[in-house]
Amino acid sequence: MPSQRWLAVARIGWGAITLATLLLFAASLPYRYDYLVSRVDLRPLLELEISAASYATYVIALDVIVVLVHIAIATFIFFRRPNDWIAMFVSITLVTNGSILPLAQLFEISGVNPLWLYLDRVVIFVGMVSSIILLYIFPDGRFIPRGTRLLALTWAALMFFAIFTPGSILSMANWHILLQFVVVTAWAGTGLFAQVFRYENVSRPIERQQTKWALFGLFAATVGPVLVLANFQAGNISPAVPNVLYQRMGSGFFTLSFLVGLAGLTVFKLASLLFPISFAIAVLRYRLWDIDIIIRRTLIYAALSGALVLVYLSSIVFLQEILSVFTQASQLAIVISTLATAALINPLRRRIQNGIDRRFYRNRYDAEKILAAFSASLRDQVDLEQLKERLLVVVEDSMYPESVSLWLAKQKLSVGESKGENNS
Amino acid sequence: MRKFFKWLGILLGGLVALVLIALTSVYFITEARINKLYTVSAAGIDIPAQPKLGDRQFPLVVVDFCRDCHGQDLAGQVMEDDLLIGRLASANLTAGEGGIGGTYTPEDWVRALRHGIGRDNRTLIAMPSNELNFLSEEDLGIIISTIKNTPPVDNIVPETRLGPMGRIFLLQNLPVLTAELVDPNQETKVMPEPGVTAEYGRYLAQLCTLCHGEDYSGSDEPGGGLNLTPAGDLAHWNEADFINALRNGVAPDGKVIDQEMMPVRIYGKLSDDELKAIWLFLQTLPPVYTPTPTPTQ
Repeated sequence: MPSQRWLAVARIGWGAITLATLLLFAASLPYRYDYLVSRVDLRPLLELEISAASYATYVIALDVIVVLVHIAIATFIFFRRPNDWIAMFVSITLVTNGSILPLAQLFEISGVNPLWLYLDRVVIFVGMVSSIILLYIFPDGRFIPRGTRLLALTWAALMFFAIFTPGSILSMANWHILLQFVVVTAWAGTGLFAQVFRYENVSRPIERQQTKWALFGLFAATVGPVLVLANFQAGNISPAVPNVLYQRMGSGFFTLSFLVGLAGLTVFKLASLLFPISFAIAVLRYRLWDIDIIIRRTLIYAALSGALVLVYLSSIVFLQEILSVFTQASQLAIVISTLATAALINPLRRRIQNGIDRRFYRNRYDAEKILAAFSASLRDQVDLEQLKERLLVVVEDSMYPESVSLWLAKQKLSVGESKGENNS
Repeated sequence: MRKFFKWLGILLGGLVALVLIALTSVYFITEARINKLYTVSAAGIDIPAQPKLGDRQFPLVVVDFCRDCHGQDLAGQVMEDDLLIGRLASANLTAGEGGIGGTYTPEDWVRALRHGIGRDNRTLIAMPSNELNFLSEEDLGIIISTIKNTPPVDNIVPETRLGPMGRIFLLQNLPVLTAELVDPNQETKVMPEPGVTAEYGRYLAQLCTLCHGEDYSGSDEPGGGLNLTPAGDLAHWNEADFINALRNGVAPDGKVIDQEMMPVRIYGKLSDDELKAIWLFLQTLPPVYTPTPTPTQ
């Protein structure tokens, strides 16, 4: 089938971009380390008794955390939904956006291989374009509102000229900084508008539940491109202040400024984790793409396997010690241990499953309590629309059904709200 | 629990209100100092159409000293920009768009350089007028002439402003409002006869006090200067070492002098006689044995 072929091509593309991003990032680390060590203003570091190496290590460590978290969550989503276009798109956006700022710094460093820089441009291009387009198409892959398709194409063209032909008149890099900022903010704004529009007018209640955290992450993701093109330099490291001025005003003034810059850099880097983490919350907590089922089973069977191995090994040791009083053969201990362990599988699985549900899936465990609380809250709820939405959420959270339909009787019997693919 | 959160909210709200009141007070107190109007009359000096230097390089070195903050083309630049601390921007000194070179009269130049007062009668911020006050009328004229002859550059530099933390520093006597630091009743400055003399060396070396301190014994600030007295870091240097270090940026022990901390690219332009005069003067200083913990190398 042609779509299967395209899917295979997309998977290869995903692999290539992810690998290129990882390799580029890994290869850039020594360059960026040397760059940071050589460019940092030593005067505030001397005052703070921090070495330039420690400073560079700190900044690089922040980058490594940010990039690895992005790539780990992106890889998880990709392998969970290898046949889902939009999941793949989210994944590639996560991969490229996580490393976009450190990779953009490579252009400031001399001596980097031109081939790497070209690859760097490709990764940055993919990151810049995908982060905005994702706002237009998430979560179902359709461009909503329809005009966003044209906006996406224009944005891709703008990014192409800015990244691949930085010297041309069409490149935003040559425009006035204010104009650049306006353009980028406008595009991010249309993306945010598209998501709000979709949330209000298109998404069903269950989709709203599933995507609300992802939307938070998407909003955070728009900050990156805005700041990159606004030429934001968090934690300015260059010693721009002449020493005469530095000496005249005293070190305290500039040391505090350095600390503020470093704190800003830290907050900015950690804030960029909102994008992957909010997607992780959406996926794990609100069953976006049903990944929580996989997580639950993984938890149960990992714990079960561990417990069985522990029981098996300890029972062998224990039985051998006891049986050694009566016989020299150890085969009997192994046989008894194996049989006992096999007998334990089902009861142990049930116990572990109950424990995990109680600990991590409290809603299911407390379904009766949730339903009771919902019944109690009915006394205060008078808005029918809110009531419908709340009921659907409670049923979803407490029973995890395959699908839910809500039928409301008005004057004539009619379908008031329907959710899921099948009625149940 | 609700009571706890109520009191927590009141506490936090009270703290925020206190901080806002404190910041507003700091703003108005410092704003009054920043916007204070100064009435200092400055006699105009003779500014030659073209600077006449003779064998002396010192006035050009002072102009290069200006370039450190005002940029190589003297068109001004932002040196520090921080939301909390503030923005330190140097003025465009040329006659281009956004520059003061085309509008400043000789009196305006003198008021700015000698008294740290701008054309609007308010103080300049972070202008080292106090440190440049030793300059003779003749040298000042050459320096202004050199600046006025710089090619015009269009560059509109944003205004210098102090952020909340910068203003708090100001209350703690951060030496940044220049007009407050300068004695308004200054005598006419006369330059000693140029030559290889300690007296002329003293005149030239006053530019060094900014980093090396009033008594030339160095500074313990990060990036601060060495102890230049006979008991200090140059104790084992001779005149040739001193000239070589300032010309080529290499100390006698082979260490390369950090250009960012000690800009020998500027001071190395002094003539041999000027450097010899400075060396002679340094040998006349009373020895100071306090070690300087942060050498410039």
